[in-house]
Amino acid sequence: MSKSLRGFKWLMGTVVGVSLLSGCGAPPAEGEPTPTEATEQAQGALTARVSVGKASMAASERVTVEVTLTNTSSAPVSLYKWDAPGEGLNEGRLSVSRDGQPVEYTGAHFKRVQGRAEDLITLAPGQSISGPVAVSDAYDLSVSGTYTIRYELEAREGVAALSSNSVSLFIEGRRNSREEAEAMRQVTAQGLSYSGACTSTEQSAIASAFSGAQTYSNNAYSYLSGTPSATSRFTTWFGTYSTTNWNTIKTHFSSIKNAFASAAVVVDCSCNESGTYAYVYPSSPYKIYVCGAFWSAPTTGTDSKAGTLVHEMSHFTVVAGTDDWAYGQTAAKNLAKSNPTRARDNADSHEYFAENNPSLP
Amino acid sequence: MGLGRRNLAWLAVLSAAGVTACTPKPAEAPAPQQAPVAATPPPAPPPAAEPAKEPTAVTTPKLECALGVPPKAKPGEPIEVLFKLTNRSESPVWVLKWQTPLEGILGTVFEVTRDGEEVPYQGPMVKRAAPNADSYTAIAPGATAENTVEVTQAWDFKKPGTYRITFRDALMDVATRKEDVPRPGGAYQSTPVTCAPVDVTVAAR
Repeated sequence: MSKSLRGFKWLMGTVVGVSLLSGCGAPPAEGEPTPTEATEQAQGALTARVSVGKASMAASERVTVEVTLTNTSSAPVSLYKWDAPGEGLNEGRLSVSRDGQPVEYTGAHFKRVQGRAEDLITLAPGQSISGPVAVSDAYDLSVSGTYTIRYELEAREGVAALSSNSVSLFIEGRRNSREEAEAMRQVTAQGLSYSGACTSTEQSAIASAFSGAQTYSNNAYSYLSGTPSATSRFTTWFGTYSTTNWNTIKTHFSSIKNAFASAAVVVDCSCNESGTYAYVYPSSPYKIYVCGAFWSAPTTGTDSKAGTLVHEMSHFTVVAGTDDWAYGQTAAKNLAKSNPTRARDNADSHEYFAENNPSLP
Repeated sequence: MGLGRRNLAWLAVLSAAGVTACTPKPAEAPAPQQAPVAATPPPAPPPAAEPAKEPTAVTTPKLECALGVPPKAKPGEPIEVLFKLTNRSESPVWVLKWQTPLEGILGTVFEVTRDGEEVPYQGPMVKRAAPNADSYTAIAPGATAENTVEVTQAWDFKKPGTYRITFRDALMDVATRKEDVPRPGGAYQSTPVTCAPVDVTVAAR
């Protein structure tokens, strides 16, 4: 059995452990879990504790809480590093409420590669891991008030939910700095920067292509949000229709559109290979290297600059993790007939679906 | 040339895939790239031995594929994989080098597992423009096209374990007439090929 599967098994044995932190003076939020029943049947427990350094935060201060996870069982416990403090809790592992009302998570979402042993952290019996977790810029703190914060690892397949004590503190309302940055970026292009000595002409061509790629991926996602059926647009590029297959592609385009909307994309101009449009390292989002053939491509249309960016964005493991099984419209259409599974994993198929040229219903 | 500056090592990979390495040569001629290869596995069974699932199997050129890798390596050591394609038919063939080690590692040419678990690919993935004649390797009857690629930059081989390296199950285009090179209209003839996987055990000694 794989290491990661064993990790899941260990987590199955995890129960809720809460140690209320003295000195924070925080009344528990409503709905606070009662730990007693859970701890009674402890089979190997991971305990989570949250603490804060001070009771109130001015608008100019960055808000973080300190999270400590302790393995209180007699067996090792494994969890993904992104679920633990220390590597950054960037996926809304905190439960935040203000005056009893849940506060929205506004931070980034990540599509993780699951089941990789190298992403697991193992806590030996008695071992603790702790680190700061950001609250500001990850949760909506626009309104002043008393906020209640708790660390939670939600229940998932075979894994019991984990919840810490809660802490309360007064937070003065402030704007999300990421939103401010986004508002500023909209004047130019969103989340786009350049490397590899792009000329100003190249930069403006990339900015147009980027905007075209946003439109393509938004439109593809809207199309896939309609009623699923064996449309010719779907079957031409992805072959056999089923709701599962449709939803796979819909998920891909949801990630692609989100990445174009909010990821920090870097386009690099250092490659001059004339036989190549572009390339990426799939495990290094969101850097896209554009090459010689990119510059002679039209901004939109078949094998365009905008479509090429969609192709490349689909490759990133954190986006859709596509591969290259067939190149060009003819080969991509053939692949949809001969091997639909690979068509759904093929970057050019996503590009042509998004470009939709000629337009298919 | 040069695919970017980030990883200059890829240039070395590309250089290693130079045309000379792919020049057809008699199957019996000693190949200098074979020096680091301790064992070449027995050749894959000829396509004729496979159940003919599709009528295209009739026109499939007889191409024999083989991989070679040293059976053992230390963590952090370079690992070189030899890829050989031999033309067992009576007439020449032209093979599109895309997504094969004949052009280096510009995509997921191999699937790599460590003790059965997939090792993620970390190399480049490339969107190509239409191929030209240089994108193909001609292989005369009885001749072999081959190239050696270093794989530890595209897949992580640092952890101890037994790594299995498997080539893709098809070549993107194989032409049997010179006038089809490069293939007009992108109507590539994807051609199945069976290459026995090879194992390398990584262990600190």
